[in-house]
Amino acid sequence: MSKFSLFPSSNPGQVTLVEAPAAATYARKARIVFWVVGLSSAVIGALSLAYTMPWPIVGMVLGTAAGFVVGFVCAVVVRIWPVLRAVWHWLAEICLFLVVVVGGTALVHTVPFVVALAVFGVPVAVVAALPASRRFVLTVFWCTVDRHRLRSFCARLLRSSSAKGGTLPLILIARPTPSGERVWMWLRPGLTLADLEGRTGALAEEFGAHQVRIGRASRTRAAYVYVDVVRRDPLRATVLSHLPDLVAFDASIVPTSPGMPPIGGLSLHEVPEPLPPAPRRGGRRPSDEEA
Amino acid sequence: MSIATLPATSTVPVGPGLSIFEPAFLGADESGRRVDLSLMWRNLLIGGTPGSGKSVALSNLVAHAALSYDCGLVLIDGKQVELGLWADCADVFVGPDQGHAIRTLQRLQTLTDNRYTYLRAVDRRKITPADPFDPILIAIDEIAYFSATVGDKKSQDLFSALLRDLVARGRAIGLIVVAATQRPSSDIIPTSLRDLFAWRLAGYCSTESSSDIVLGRGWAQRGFNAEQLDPDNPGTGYLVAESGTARLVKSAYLSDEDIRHLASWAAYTRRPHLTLPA
Repeated sequence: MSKFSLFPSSNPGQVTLVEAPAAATYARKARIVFWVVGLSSAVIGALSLAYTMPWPIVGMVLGTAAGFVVGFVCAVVVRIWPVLRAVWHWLAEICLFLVVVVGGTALVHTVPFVVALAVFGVPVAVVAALPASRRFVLTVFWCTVDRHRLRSFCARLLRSSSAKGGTLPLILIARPTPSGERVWMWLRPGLTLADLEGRTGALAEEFGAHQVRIGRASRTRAAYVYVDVVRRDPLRATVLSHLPDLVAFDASIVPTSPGMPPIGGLSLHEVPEPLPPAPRRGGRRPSDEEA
Repeated sequence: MSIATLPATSTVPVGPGLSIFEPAFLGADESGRRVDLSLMWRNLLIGGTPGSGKSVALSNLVAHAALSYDCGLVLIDGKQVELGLWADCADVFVGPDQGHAIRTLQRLQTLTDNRYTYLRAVDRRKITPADPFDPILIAIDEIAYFSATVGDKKSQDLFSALLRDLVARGRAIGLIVVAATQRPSSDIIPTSLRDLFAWRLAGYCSTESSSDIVLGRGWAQRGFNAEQLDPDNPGTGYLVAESGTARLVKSAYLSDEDIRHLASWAAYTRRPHLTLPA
């Protein structure tokens, strides 16, 4: 068990993006992908170019080289996949960082500080002042937060479940809805929709929402699911029907009663209590004379 | 006894041109989009606690059927007042009379046999708008009144059996059953009848299990739990219909005046010289 240390022994300038065991696993996968994809692509490329080019030997060499280039590209993608996934998860923050910090620094070095402050401050003030734009920014903020919270929830679920070798789902886009946000994700081996069912209460607490609903986003792809995060009830207002507008109102066709309908027993004192059932007579039957 | 008579007029009443083969307007969903239900060849079960908006949803569907030029109406209402406003434009209106309800279902059972005989004669499996008879919407409010409250066990079972036959066989021949009840548990209506309803609408329910009884097992686990609906927001409910997915909807509100207006117009277009009964 690793202990927290204020002065770690490793290089202080080094930041761990991918844990060492995971990095080793992806390196092994990358080597396998390189040889499998590279060899098969090289064979296919060599044969194809050898038959199609005027010089078969040159075509074979070019096809083999192209095949190994394809294998190399695939291997690189597999090797850096954890980093790509992290970049995808933090894409919004990375973009924000680039715009605010990098853009801000460049602006300060280009124009006077007051102008740079105005360039950043005025839009922020306008967005904060207008309710519509403020709401929009808040919904985008919640969409970003939801993706992170969903990923961390799935990670905890995978760690606690029996399927410890499961893979984290790919959290796709999130977009605001009138009731909150909707996040789409692509489930991968180890985590199914059934694992998430029954945990909607815990998910709602994770999101800090009123309610969470999950379901399949596609009828043909079981791995493609959505998570609805409900923060407010957009159906508070009365929904009106258009049907009354379809007919021209004509008061003369609405029947009106000339008076009170002749129906009695409308008050409790007008309704008599039902008679109790007659008691069953036991013993011998009375004789004809007694009767 | 007649207490009101429609005025004699030289004009011909024209209906709004709706058809039961077109989707019926129900309300709006969470995204603000209108929700339309295609009733043809479908049956719908509506559940929820008293005041959850079952009758509001039922009224919207009955309104569409009443204004359709090609749909008959059979209304069965133990409370009388929910569907009673539509009584004048209905072919049959059944109040709190179990015997009348059973006789009506028996008539519909005979109609079912006759229509299937017709379909067999014309070598088809279900009706179309071109057939010489109209679909019929059978709206039932408070099934429990007839299946578990009034009458003896024998008559209650007979009512449930006739209704089950209607739901099971009536779909293809244009007999559409839309039934509402508070909690369709097995002590109220047989499970074999409840499970025949393909489409469900659950208003606010007092327990999670009640919600699952209306919508079907497993929906509450996915978060579609009608217990979590706001009981002070009637008309809101989970609808399981097209594509087999559930969504939150709110039924459109029809005031008593709206219903009287629509029902009078529907009665007028169906029977211009109708003398309204008391």
